[in-house]
Amino acid sequence: MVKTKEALDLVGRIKDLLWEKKAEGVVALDLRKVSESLDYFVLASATSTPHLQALERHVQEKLEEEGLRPRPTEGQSPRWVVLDYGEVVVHLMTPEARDYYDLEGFWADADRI
Amino acid sequence: MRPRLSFLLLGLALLALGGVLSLPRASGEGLRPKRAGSLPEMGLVVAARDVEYCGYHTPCGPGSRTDTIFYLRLEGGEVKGVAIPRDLFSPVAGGKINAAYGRGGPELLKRAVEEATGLVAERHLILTLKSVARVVDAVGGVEVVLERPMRYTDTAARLFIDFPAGRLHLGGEDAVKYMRFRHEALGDYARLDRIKEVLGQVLRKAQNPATWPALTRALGEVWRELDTDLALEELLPHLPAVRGLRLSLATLPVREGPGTFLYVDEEAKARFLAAFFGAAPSSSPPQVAVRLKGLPELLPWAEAFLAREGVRAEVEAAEVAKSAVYTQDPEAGAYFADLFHLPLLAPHRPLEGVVVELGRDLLQ
Repeated sequence: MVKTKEALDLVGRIKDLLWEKKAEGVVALDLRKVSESLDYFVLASATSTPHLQALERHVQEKLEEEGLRPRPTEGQSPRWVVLDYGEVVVHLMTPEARDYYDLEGFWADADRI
Repeated sequence: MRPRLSFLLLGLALLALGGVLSLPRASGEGLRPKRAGSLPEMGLVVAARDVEYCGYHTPCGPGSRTDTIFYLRLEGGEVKGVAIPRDLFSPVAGGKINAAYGRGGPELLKRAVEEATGLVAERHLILTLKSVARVVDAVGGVEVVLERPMRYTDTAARLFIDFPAGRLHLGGEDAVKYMRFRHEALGDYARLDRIKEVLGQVLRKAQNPATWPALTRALGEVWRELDTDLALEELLPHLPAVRGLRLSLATLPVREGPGTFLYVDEEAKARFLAAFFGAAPSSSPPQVAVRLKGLPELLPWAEAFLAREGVRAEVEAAEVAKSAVYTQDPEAGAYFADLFHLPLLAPHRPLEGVVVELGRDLLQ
């Protein structure tokens, strides 16, 4: 079973790391009630592509220091980067991509944490 | 990193915890979370264009024949697809159905498919082999298990297939070869079964949010070269809906006719379509032989799970690449596919009862 406490700690840690690098619109969703297969999403917007890369690098490096590595994903997009930490999946997007895919709207029933 | 339970195991574990299994299924349905947004409802003809030859040994791009034709019905959280054999005789096309696209474009192909299936085809999506390879690459390839080596050389088609037996991970280009291979006893039917298998895996991988950025990029790149009346902009925002999609694929019942033509088996078709599209999964376990096949670590759990449903299954340990429910009985298949949250694949090759295959993909 999912260790909720540990996953929630990770969500908090990721939010802090994103704020440190001035990510915009940082939102965490608890999807467990609205999805059979997803647990937590952390969403954040970057102001530019270099900012997007900086956010990705920062989260990845800091969590790696704590022994956490994301699962390999298959080739990232310049508008949307995903870091998959198992129960917690981080979506870093440009504002346009975030509007367009509207993941928050799609899972509007999910609890924000 | 902590191991993540597969969506199947997690889903079942949650169901078990909630005591939902002890409730009648109808009440269980009500407890399912509601999902915001869903895919647009439509009947869609999906076909892949073979390679065209400008001269001997000189392939020069996508051709006008469509060797792979599927009718897909998107409705709510479900995709149901019927594979149509390429040698099927089509009166409106005046020949084999794989020539319809070349003779009259997507409109004639849609009419030919409607004629064969009796189902409404509103939209079309004509792929190229290159675009299929690109999409398979975007989801990180597919896993297959070959019982025998697969070898075939067609110099003219520049098709060189040489796969050893055993478990293989195939990238896009190799996956296309795997789907094109036709040189065995069951020929085209076995090819359609392999295509169903790859489609099932691609959809499963597309359900993982981690593949979405790569997938959207790949689709953006290949969409231009596709012949379709679907706008990518209209589809992409529905990507999160793929998360909850369930897939069932079967082959249209046909019989052999004069020459190399196949004809729709009208009687079998009526029965098959009614069961495939009409029936909701029954509320009690269907009376069929059930075989569980897969990884030794999953079998005891699955056996116990079925026993709680009152189903006794034969058990077989085996290497399985892709988890799915295989059967030619659409009603029984719908029940077990629903129970295990797995795609339902109806192969053309003879198969007794229902086979539930559980592979490593569930543990990843």
